[in-house]
Amino acid sequence: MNRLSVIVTVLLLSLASCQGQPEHAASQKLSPLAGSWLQQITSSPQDFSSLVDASSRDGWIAFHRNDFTSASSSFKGEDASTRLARGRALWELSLFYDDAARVSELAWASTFSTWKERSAIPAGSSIPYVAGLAALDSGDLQSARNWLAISAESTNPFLAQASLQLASVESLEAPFQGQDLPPLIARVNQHLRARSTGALSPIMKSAHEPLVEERVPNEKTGTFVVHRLYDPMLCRTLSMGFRIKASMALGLDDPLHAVTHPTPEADPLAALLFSPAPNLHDLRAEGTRAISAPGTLGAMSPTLAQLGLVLELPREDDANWAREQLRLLDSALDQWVVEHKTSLDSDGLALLLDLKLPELFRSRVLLAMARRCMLADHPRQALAFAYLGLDLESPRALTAVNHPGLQALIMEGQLRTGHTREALDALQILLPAYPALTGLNEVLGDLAILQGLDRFGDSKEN
Amino acid sequence: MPTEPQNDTTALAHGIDSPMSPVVATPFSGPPELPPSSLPLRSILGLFLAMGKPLVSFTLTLLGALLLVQLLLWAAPGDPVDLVPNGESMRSALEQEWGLDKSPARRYWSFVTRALRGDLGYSLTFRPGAQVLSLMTPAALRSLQVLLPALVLVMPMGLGLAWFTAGHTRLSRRPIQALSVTPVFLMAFMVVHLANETTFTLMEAGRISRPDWFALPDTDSWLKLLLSILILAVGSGSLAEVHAACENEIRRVRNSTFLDAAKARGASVWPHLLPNLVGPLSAVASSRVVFLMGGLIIVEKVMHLNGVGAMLWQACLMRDYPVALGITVLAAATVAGTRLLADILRVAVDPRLREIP
Amino acid sequence: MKTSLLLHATALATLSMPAFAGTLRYAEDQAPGIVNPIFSTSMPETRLNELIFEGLYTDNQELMSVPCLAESAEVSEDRTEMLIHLRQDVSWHDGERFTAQDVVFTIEAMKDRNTLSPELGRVSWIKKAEIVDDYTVKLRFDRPEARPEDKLLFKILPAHGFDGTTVKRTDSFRNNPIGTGPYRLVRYNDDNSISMERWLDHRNPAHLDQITMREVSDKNYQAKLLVYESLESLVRVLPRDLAVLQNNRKVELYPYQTNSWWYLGFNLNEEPYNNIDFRRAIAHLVDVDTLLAPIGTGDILTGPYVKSSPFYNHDVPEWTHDPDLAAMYLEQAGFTMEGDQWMDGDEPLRITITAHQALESSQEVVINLQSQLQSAGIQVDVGFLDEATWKARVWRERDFELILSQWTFDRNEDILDQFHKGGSRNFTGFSNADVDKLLELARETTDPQEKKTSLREAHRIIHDELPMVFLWTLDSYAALSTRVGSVVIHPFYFFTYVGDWTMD
Repeated sequence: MNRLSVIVTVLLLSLASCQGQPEHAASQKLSPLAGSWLQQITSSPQDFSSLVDASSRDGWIAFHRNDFTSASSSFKGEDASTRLARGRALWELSLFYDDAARVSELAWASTFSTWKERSAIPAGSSIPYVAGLAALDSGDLQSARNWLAISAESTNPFLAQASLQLASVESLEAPFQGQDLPPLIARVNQHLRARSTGALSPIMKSAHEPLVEERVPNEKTGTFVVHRLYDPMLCRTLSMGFRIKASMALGLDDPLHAVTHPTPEADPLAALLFSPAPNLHDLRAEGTRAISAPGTLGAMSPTLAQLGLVLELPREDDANWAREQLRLLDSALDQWVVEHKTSLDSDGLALLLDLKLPELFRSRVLLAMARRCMLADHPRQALAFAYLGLDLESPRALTAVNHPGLQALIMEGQLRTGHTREALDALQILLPAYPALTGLNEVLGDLAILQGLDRFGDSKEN
Repeated sequence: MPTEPQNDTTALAHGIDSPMSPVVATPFSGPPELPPSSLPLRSILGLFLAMGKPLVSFTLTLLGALLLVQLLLWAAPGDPVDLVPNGESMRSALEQEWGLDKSPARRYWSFVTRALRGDLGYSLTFRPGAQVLSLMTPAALRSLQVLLPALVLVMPMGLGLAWFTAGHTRLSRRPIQALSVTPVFLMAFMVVHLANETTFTLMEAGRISRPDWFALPDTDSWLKLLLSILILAVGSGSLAEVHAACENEIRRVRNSTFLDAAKARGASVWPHLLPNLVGPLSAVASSRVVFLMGGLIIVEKVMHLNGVGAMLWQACLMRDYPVALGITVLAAATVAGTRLLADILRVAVDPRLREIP
Repeated sequence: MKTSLLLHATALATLSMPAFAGTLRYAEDQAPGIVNPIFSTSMPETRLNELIFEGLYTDNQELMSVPCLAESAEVSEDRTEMLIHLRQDVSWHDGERFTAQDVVFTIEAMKDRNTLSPELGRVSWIKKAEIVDDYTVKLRFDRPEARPEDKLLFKILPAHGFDGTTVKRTDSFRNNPIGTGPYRLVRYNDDNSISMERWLDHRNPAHLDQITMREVSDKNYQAKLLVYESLESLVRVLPRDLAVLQNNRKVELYPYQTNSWWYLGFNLNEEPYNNIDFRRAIAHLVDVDTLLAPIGTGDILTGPYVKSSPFYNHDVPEWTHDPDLAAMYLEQAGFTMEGDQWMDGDEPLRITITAHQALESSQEVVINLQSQLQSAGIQVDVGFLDEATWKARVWRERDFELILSQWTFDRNEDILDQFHKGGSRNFTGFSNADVDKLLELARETTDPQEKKTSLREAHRIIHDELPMVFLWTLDSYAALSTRVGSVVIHPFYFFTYVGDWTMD
């Protein structure tokens, strides 16, 4: 809360005092960042205040500290700029859950296969059903069929029926038809509807609760154990649902196009503020490129190329390359700050420093780069970028610099490189703000336990 | 300023950091003035008789120090077995192997008898299995590199300063005391920090290239050695004590009647002055050795010198009895040896001390 | 006197040893005492062993056990026997071939009762090791093993380096360790540093030419040396140095996860600590946030796990900082307030907090804690113990009132030793039949959810029973110079992947 009040104060102060400031002389030196939103709002703080006043101050405060849920509900207005801002916030949520969904897929798949291998799956358990559902949702038809064949044999009629129904389809798209659907299938239908309409509230309501809770005997220990199995479809549904919501706010089916090509009625700053794209030119150039991977927007902007960064990914997943790129970015940013700082008045300087704009921009770019590497199957580079993007003054908090996406990508990178326990560390930071990840946390926990079953346990002091 | 400055300094030096403070440096009250004389050959027998007492005291010091350290280590909670993980499950076997199952008296006796044969045993926890003698020797040589120059340096420094200040009021001691009573560790930290930060700032600014000695005290260099020697010589009241003792002596000798007599005869005062100072000053030097050795532990820790001082510190922390005892023997022998040397020197220059009764 | 000669000879050589290209210098708080994995007792030794020695298996970057000195293995149907085929292209640092004899020797040496190896537990599950041929070993287990390779990570020693399987700390091997690892120990230097050189006959030679282990006992100074470029690597950065090092463009930080937490433990066998009301009062008097703030960033905990642990029970609430509630509990415990001082009968209430001297930042915490409790009217004495005193008083004699300390766990996070009635590290004397049962069940079961549920329940009970006030876990990072590349760090052994590291 302290941080929040500081930001509010800074914003209010800068807004209150920047009225009627004389236009600052254009920067003499033309750094590639000269045309960026960073330079614009620090050189002319009134541009910033007019945007903030016109849309929603609370919304931008929340957007600045990466609280996109609050931001999206604060941007209530229907003018072009506010809708753009709302759309961006919703879209950020969609991208975040998309990252989480990739982790989910991997987590559910590896947990249950490891479970099967390391420990017996109790007879009659719903585990095969959930594993089958997860596999089907991630498009792994073969595993889905294998798992569902087991659960179809269950003595529980609802479970058997649900399994048979799932086994009858090739993919999860259209809702299941018919009356008296088993509750598990009705739940699947809820997901599928949310994915196509953006109606997320029924899903969100029970997002952190288990899908199945059952008492199973453990033959080995002679005890009963309560298994809580969580919904594997959740993150994908949230990602798709928020995407639809973003489209609705932006008035275009394709949120990427809407964000990268803002309408003339909207303040262009609303499309750029706190984004990894330095200017409109970058946005447009990337708009066409990032179609297949909208989350990577900002990773390959022409401005970055001008700063000397290499936009071509190396063939190997070499974390060194990521660190080299960061060094280039850092030196360019450091230089820009040094040069630009001298030309700023006190308001501009306050914006630059107190809103941590260089650090914020840096972490946004690194997030986009991390995502790009991850999608290119380079988890080590992605991990390097994501870790380097964190602000270690408060490494366990989500802040203006510590975007939740960084933690999501760290989680994915760690999991993909076998470090389940470390993935849980990252997830832990996200959980308080994103309770929908509860199920993922439990599943990853199970995986971590299974992976360590035969290890030599030790403890030491200090 | 009603207090006697010399006592003042002594108290400060003791209070701050002298881990080896049980031996107190007594302000030397020198022998009565004596006429200049050459060393007469006829009193060799007297010399031997006169040395009997110091020799006995040498042996007793050695055994006493050993006993004291053994008792301290024995009384200190914990033992080497505690430092071995899962050590408890192997306690009896380890105690037997390391001879910890014996009574302290037997351990003392067996250490002394083995030490007489030149066997100081092997390290238990500090460098498990290493022979104490081979661990200690190179470390002792490194310590000597600092200790000896510091001792050699502090005497002429104190004497030189005293020569000038002796004639003035006692207030002139103040600046020397102020500098000298700074605790060794504080002085060392300040010097290291100042040198490093200044150099690093200059390096970062591109004003200088990286010096060989950078960074203190991490890299072995002449500068590090020199600073260690200086800090040891000056810090913890060393310089002030020596200075005060020298000043007293010089004043005493200057005011003595035989010097007046010599002056009256028109002869040079030097041949009278120097021999009268050798005795007292050698006693000052020998008493300083104890303090310097105390300071040495700290200088070695702060300046990363890895001498016996630092090793003793670590060995005590790790309850490595053989290493700690080995170093004690060495330290006690050095202290007692220096005293013996000082006694010999004194007897040698003072014919009255070797008169056969 | 070979050693002393060796030391003399190197004394001059190392006096002004330049840091040539490809030399990685890393700092340890204390130099390893002995370089022999059978007797390794500390983390500095464990890390050094990782450079010099190898095991049959090792962790790959995904932390899965993969063959290292082993080439392949077959486990019998009943999982009580394992046939291991060894690599045939391995040579020891003295040029001898590595064979099955070395493997069998190592296991037998560790099992030899006269060896007195603290690492005995790592092989006690192996009933017998036999040589089948030069490059094949057969292991028999006491009971079926699901994943024996997970337990075969211990380092292998050369049979030809010893006389018989009774290995002693005094063996000459300690001066001249021979391994098969990527680095060969070249010499022990006068400044307690150890120089290692890349082992060129390694089947997969490392990139860095040399590695030097430096002893720098002052943690604050370690960070300085990294900034001064007098070191290339710090194994663990003090939390409060993190932000400074992050802003240094010549240093890069590498996170690595440690499962460790701080606690304030009560001696439950002593008055008044055996009184739950008194313990509750202390728990409500401790202002954990204020204690944590000066020493770094971390997570505040309610039980014996870090928050990201699957065993952490998130439903357990923190003990709030609430002096009024504390006062109520103190009254219930039979203490009375006189003026602004709590009285135990006619005497002022007086407690002693003891901490381990080497616990980083413990001074700050204890002093702040002392002032917190004293301002609430409790007299507090503090004491800092060195390692040996700590081990004797706390571990062996259980002679303490309150202790401030930290536990670090590997990824298993098995707390049975700390909280089971018969646990060897249960210093507080905690005893609860339910917890005992839960901990035993958790060790026994292979159902992850059963394990999770039992341990979360154990967390709840332990929190309520309050044998200790759980404090926090701190962030752990290693720091390396940006000149070092391709860095991957093992969360426990640190140097497992050092062969891939590069340097400008």
